[in-house]
Amino acid sequence: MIDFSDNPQGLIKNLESLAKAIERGETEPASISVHDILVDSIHGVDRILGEPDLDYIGDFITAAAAVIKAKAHKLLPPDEYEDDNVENTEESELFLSQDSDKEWSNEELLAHLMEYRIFQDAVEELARRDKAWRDVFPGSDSHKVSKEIPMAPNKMGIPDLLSALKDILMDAPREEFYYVPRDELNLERSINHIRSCIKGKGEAVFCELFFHPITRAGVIGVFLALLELIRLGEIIVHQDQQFGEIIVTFALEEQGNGI
Amino acid sequence: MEYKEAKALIEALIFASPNPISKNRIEKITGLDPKTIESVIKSMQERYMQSDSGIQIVFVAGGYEMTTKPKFVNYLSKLNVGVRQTISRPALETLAIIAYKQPITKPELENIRGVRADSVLNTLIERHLIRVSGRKRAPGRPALYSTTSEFLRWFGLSSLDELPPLTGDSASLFLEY
Repeated sequence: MIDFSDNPQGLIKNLESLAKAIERGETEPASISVHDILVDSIHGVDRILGEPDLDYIGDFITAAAAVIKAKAHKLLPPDEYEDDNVENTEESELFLSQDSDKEWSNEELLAHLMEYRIFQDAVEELARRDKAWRDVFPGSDSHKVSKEIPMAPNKMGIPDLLSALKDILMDAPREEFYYVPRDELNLERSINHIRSCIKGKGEAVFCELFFHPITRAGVIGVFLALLELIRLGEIIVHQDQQFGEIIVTFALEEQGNGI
Repeated sequence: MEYKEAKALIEALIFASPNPISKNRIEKITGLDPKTIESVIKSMQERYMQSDSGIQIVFVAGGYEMTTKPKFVNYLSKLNVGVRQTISRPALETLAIIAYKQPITKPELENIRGVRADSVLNTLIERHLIRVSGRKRAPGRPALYSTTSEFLRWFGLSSLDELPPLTGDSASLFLEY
């Protein structure tokens, strides 16, 4: 079907002729294998040219595209935008570009212009009314009210809600709050502390065992640690004289002198 | 309720209503029968027209509204209240097509006008003269545009029926050329 002669332009002309034949219905489009034709054509181009020539390749692609377009036009269902006059907002650009490419017949063009012209009467009427009603001022704040742009529901954000909540809280009676510190009784730490106090001098004075600054939780923690060490038999406490200091020592060093 | 009192009440309602108030609404609020309401409003309209008052009662967008009389426009405009923005010719064209063809999609509108309408449509929506009234049962579900009650009010129309029919007289003249 395609003449692959040694004439490069002949190949392109053949492709163009084929496209026209399909468009005119002289060739059955379903019987044409675009793939086979183009593969053969590309081999022909390689054979004829040897080296690539961009201008020629450009012409070849255009001619090949014309064949594909012609076949598609004949075989695919008609464009819904042309037939059903069904428009898609998102695809309006496509619609308009197709429309601008469309070739109007004289009748269509005249009908279109007439329809447009008919609306010009309506435009004149609206312009007259606009001018007449421009001189009239409605009562109360009606215009202002109607001009207010209603707020979309999704415009209400978290900051707006927080602001509204703040207003309500401001009106609510104020409650008094007190700070209650959390008790942190770390027995292990207190035990280690007592041990280190005794290790230094071999003994420790009871009242010097407590952490500084002295806190209620700290005192209780150290005292519980002291009781635990006594229970384990690790330390002993003793008093050398009446009203004297209470001394804490390791049990091994003071065997037999415990409480 | 006595006629005098009914008259005063209806006058107060029309004055205080932020939008044109319909007969039905007056009826629901006052409990008066429609004939009395109509008669009262008619007599008030006549009184306002004949008296030296600068106010008039007009029927617009399906309801009654108090407005100033047009002859005082030069003075009232100095108050700088309620001054309307002008509507451009393309916007008027778009409004006219929507008013007569509603509900209409944007591409249908653009097909008649032959130019894009995105910007004009946005402006008209911002001014509440048109609204998206639905979606066409078609691929992509394109938005359908219709006019609003603000459109009627803007152009002093009681309803869309008040729009003159499209006769095509000028189209005939166009054909003669």
